[in-house]
Amino acid sequence: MNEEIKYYNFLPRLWLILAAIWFSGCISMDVPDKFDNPAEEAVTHPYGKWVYVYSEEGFYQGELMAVEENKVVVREKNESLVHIDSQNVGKMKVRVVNTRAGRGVGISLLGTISTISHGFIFVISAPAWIISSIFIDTRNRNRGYEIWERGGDSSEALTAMRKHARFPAGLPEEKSEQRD
Amino acid sequence: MMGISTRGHLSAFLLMFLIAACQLTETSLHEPEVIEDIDPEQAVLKAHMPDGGMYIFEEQWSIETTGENGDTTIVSGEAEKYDEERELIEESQVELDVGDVALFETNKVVSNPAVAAKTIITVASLGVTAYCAANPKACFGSCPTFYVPEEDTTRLRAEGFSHSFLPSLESRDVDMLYHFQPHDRELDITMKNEALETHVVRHVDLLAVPSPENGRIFKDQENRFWEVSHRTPPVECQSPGKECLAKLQEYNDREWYGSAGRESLDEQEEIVLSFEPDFDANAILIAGRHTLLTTYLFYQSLSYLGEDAGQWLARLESGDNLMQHTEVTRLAGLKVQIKTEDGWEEVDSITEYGPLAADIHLVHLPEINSDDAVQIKLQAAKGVWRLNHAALARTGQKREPESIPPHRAEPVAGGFDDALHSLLDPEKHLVTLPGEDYTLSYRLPEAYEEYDYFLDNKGYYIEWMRREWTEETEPEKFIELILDSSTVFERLARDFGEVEDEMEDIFWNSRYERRD
Repeated sequence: MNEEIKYYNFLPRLWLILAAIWFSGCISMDVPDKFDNPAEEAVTHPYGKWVYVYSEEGFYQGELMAVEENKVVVREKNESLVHIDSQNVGKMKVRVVNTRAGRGVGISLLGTISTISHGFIFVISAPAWIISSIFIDTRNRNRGYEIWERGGDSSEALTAMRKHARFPAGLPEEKSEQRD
Repeated sequence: MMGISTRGHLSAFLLMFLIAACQLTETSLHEPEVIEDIDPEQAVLKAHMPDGGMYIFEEQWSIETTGENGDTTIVSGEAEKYDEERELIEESQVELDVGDVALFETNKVVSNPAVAAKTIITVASLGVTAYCAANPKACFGSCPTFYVPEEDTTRLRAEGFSHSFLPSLESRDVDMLYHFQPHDRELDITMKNEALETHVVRHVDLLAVPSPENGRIFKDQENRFWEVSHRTPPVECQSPGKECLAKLQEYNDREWYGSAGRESLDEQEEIVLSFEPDFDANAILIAGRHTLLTTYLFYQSLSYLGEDAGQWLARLESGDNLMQHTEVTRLAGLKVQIKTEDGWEEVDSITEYGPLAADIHLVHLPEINSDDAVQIKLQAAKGVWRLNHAALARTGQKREPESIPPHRAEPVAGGFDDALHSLLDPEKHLVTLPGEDYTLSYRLPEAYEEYDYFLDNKGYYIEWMRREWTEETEPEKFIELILDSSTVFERLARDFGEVEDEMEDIFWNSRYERRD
């Protein structure tokens, strides 16, 4: 009985810890629906991926048009093309695919509620559901993004991100001449 | 009571894993010069043009080499054409000269690796249901799997007695460990039961055969071992609509394969290989494995039998040979023919079953003078074979193998501690259940680098009936499959066509296994 009381006293703290894990682990981007496609649609999508570019010149977001040796080109929401000097890019975040991670949340919730029927085993099974759900959901959510960061863990060059661009072979000549 | 609750809870948890984890994409870029390395079966192809336009080949595209000197490579298929603003211009049949393309991009849907990394027990009964429910005949099956060390990893390199699905069909299976290169005298092979099957294993021995100088040992279909010191790959390969030469020249993981017949499963396809040997040849080496078509047909047969499957299989077990006439086996063979003055002459048919691991077979040919160009035709039902390699060869002496039983059999996941005694005693079997793995240890000969190695296993397996299969119980169709397969093959061609593209993914992802 005493054990049970201790457990219920611990619950509020547990929720706080779990909430902190949940929110701290998540990558998020505000991506227009047109660029937020699940895997089966993303593979045939003709556009570049939606990107956040953090550079010394400023923050830009839009469709990734090209990643060349000396510049990153982004088409912003207002359709203007922005050419960013590669040397100034500190970080790029790309929305690769919508993993539909949210679909797991409902199941997690149902699973957690179902532990009420487990009697005292609830003490073990409910936290097991919650903790595992948080880790799995966060991980799945994050897998929908790819991040390049200067000096980061990856040794890849910035140009490795060109595969997410509309023009991975480089901007066609006509567009190269357009500068906003 | 507690056990049931825990299992249900675990199953729901796994379901959450499988639904929530779901699918990602894999994008790769390819320079036009290496376009032939791309497997058309595996991905959506985007061809980026220098003017910013793009073609998207979603399915049924192919790469062919044409031109008088074979110097023009064409990508062809149904494609959507977009301009640089990504306006759809047209959707039509396209033939694209690779030289006109700036860059190729492939995209494919892949399963989330988080599942593999984090799942402790994958695909318990509910997991199987979740993954295979839509196409239960695509679920993983077919006999014990053997994983062999290679460099820093282990690879699935052999499978055991694939067609021995009853005690009366217990048989021996010998697979060459072609890629295995020993670094010391100890070899650990992992034997797994990854399917919803009971495996009954009589023995798993290693066969060591001394290699000739500058040559290797290969086995024929009678499990006789031959020295081969001369080999030469084809110089030309003709396969309608599919590039094959590059895939067959070396024995590696690249495979030539195509789709099953859409009108009937017994529609035939053929590859014609041309060789220019500088030695007197008398054999051909062919490496490959089955696609999942025969597995599908086996499951379909059990599905037709439904709840009566046990009774029917018991009839076969008790000597009723009705089922032995099933024409499912007719689809399995790969006919080998040689061009003679009188036309094509059949020399043999490779009938080894199994969709899991490729094996290499030696087929004897009539004596061929080194002056003659040689043409060999391989013929099989469409979409039944995946081929890795072909080479004309000259056999030397027949050699006897040295049999090496395991000196240790240690359970890795589940299983019995005294497994070794069961494997060594010819009167006993080692019985394994889904998810059980064993590490089998062998001590190689002292001059271990001077041998070729083969895995020699014997046993049978019992397929577990799946609830989904019993929902299709139609024994009259099973009878039809035996007596008048043509009609059934036509009907199943349509059914199989609907699942063929996704079957590989479902099959490999529905392995029943424990992972760390």
